[in-house]
Amino acid sequence: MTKRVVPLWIATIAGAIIMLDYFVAIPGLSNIAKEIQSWTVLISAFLLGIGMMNLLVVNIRGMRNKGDTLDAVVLIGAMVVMFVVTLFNKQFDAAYRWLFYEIYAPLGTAVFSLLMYSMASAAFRAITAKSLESTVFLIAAIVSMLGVAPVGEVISRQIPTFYQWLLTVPNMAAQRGITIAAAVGAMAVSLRVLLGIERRYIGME
Amino acid sequence: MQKGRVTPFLAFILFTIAIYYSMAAIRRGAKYPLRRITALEAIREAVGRATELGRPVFFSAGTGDVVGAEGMQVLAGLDILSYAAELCAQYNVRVISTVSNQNVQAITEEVVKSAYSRAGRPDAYQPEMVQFLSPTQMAYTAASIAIMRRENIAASILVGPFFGEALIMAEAAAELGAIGIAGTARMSQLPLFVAACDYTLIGEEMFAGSAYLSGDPVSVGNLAVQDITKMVAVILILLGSLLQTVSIPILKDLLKR
Repeated sequence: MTKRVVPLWIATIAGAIIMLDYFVAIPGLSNIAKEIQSWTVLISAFLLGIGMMNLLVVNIRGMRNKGDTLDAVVLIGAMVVMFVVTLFNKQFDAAYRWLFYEIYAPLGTAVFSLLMYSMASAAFRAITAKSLESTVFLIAAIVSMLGVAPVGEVISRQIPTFYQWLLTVPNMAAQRGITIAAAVGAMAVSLRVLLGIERRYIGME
Repeated sequence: MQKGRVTPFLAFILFTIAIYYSMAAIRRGAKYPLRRITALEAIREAVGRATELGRPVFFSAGTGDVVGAEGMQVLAGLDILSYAAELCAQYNVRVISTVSNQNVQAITEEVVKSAYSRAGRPDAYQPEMVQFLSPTQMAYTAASIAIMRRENIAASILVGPFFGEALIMAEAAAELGAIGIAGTARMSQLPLFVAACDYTLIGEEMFAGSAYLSGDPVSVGNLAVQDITKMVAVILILLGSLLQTVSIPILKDLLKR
């Protein structure tokens, strides 16, 4: 029980101090709040180590139980090499730069480029007139495309104007509505955490 | 009091009192009707389908951190994971949750472990159910897609603060024929989820998950106050617009305090 109650109290007290510091100017409280916030950096660094341990455990178990040897060896090897090279980056400066700029960055860009394919594929599936909602989606997509493409203005000068109206009036109104409602929802969840009502994150009901 | 924070402070106090009052009212037997949220109801359907197919359920709360502005979205996502993992434990379906942020890792493990305990199957929990992949966005995305494909998932639940990875992950799940349930409060990614997934939790709906799925008085009371606060916000917007139009800035000045 103590294992669950102590973190709950720590979270409530730390949250209350930071929140009080936001609202009220009490001398000394600001320093405590800053100190608590700086702890999160330390805790985060420690948790990265735990994350690496999880990665090792899961992949070693994968090798043992499923025979995913190649994937696991490549992943663990890459993690260890990158960790060592980054930790001792003064000694391995050239290797660090090469690994980062020649392997890591291009791989990241390659994965990001999948977004274009995903966008086309999702649009192809979603933009069909099979229901009222998808028909509205289809019309909005056509208007948006014609609104930004030069051909839209050639067809009718009203199309770019209508597109701008669509973007700045109904679209903006809906976006703001969703944002306000989401902010209220986030406030309710944060209050539940702060008051110790929300306990699932520490495994309590 | 800090300058410009008097009104938010009073609003916070009122909000807190209202939550306690509504919780007490619901505990005394007051009823608060909850509107139907299809995407939340679809979770049971998704787990059922995964059971029939004998394939796992995939969950991700995105690449956001529990510390910071997106923190509450992560916690709301983990509430939904808690429910889905409990269902998976009951139906003996594997759940795979990938994690991008180290601060979210321990919480996710705790959420899944306790879900399995609640279902009466604590021994069925495996470390593979919660996998930390990478704090880097695209490395996490690539690894998550690889897991989706390798495990041939039957359902994908993506609820949390998603960024550029949202559409890539949702589309990867759709290509496998998995039921896609997604939700985020990030406006830039919401339309992409609507286009790529079968069911979408729009903005505040993801924060209602806890109340809707558990039905416990505390959460339902919370939801009732959320709805009342939204109504107050609408009234303030209308009143503010009206007063500004007739050049009476009283409400604007009051909210600035």
